[in-house]
Amino acid sequence: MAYNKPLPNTKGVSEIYWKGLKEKKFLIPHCNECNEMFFYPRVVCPHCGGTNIEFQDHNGKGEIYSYSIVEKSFIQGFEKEVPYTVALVQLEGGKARMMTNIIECEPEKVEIGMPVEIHFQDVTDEIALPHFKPMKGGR
Amino acid sequence: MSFFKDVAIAGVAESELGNVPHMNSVDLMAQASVRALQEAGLKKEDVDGLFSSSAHYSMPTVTLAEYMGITPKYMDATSIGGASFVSHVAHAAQAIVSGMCEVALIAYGSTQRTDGGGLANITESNPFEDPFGYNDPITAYSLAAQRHMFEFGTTRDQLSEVAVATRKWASMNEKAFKRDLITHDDVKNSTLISTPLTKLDCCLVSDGGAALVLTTRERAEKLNTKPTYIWGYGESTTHRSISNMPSLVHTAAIESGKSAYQMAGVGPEDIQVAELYDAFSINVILFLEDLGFCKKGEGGRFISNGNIAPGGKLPVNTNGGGLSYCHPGMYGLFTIIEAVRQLRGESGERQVDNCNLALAHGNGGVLSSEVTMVLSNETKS
Ligand SMILES: [Zn+2]
Repeated sequence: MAYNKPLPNTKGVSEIYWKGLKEKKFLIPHCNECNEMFFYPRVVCPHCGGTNIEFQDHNGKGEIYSYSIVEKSFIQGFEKEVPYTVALVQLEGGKARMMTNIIECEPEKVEIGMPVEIHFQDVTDEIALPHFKPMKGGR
Repeated sequence: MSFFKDVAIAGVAESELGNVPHMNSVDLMAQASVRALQEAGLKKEDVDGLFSSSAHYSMPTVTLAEYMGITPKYMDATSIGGASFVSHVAHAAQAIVSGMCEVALIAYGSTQRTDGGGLANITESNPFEDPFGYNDPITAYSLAAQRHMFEFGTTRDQLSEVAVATRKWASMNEKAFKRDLITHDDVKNSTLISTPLTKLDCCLVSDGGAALVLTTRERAEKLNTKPTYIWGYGESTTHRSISNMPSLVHTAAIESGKSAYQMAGVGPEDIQVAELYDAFSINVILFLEDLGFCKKGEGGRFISNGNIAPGGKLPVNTNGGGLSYCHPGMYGLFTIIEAVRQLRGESGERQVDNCNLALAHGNGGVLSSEVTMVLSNETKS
């Protein structure tokens, strides 16, 4: 069956990020002026206003900053997948946080502070999504 | 920042509320507008400043001007979500004092319930959130609630107490959509949507409109109603999408509140009634903390002592709030309407005794934009 959940618009400044995911690379924008990372990709650094920005390889590790188990979903394609976990993951090594789904973990076992690592989830021929799963062996 | 001294609120009104399938959003705006003008003793011909925001119309002041046959000299359709209308009142004050207009009409209307119950929204996609099945906006507030519980030990029962206390107030408001009292168990056991929030932690989905008339203090004092004065105002924002909220347990209400108190020359201890935009139960806990009614992290404990319910130390959401009175999608203006009625002494059974200083707080987006207004029935010395 064709993938019927919402898909991201991958054009523009973020194209490199989305292409990276498809090649199992986790490319996060890094500001060379304040030496800090951020997310989502932009042409101006939200920390210092700098414009010298490059994508850097990230190790895909982080920890759960907060989460919610969706028990009733209003989102196309997700209605029958409840319960599932929506989380905000704080990426290791800097000031970048992103929304994701936590996979390979029973929703009731998800905790704030739990170490997680990226799982490149192929969903279409063009797109892979950054899902996260509990880090092997914990911290 | 003395310009607020020279303006006053002369009229406030709601349209028909609740289930209004025979009207469109602009009908509700216009109906509320006529009622607010009537209350003040003004006509639409007197209106020369028009303020609105909408999830239904891309040019809401233009749409309303055409509908009502008003040719304004000044318009502002600032859009910062549900907080917009509180900001419009402040922006109207600046326009009046600078001579751009004299009678400002701030109007809102939405048929969110009739339109099918989803949050009316001019579509705005987010490639970094949409693919993950995030229920916008409920899951955003759930993420904040979960983090608050983690950091401060806030409990399920404390979230429930917000809904329970608010319903007690609603039971005394004949305009409220839901008036039957509820228990903590009712809230906890209602449909779980996105943990930890259940259906009864979430605002209503209703139809409704609201309007407010602001004019010069001089003119207001000659009109039909007891004028309400603006003592202080503040606004700020920390993020647009929940992924980008710097701390899920600190909102821009810290900034907006600080500005409002500073301008008013008062503090949280002076406020006698607080109308806080309760899109979800967690909002009230966050805003009580961020507006200084209790310390950070103590919001849950503060409300569990019955402090915000009828008879409590700080009456909160005395109209029944977005949780029980009405919530057509952008609730902001209703916070001021109830504050004005409390200050005039018009709130009947739910009237707070000796109420002279009120706070109205609007919230927009996903805890994104915050606006705070301090109001009084007395002129500021
Ligand atoms: Zn920078």
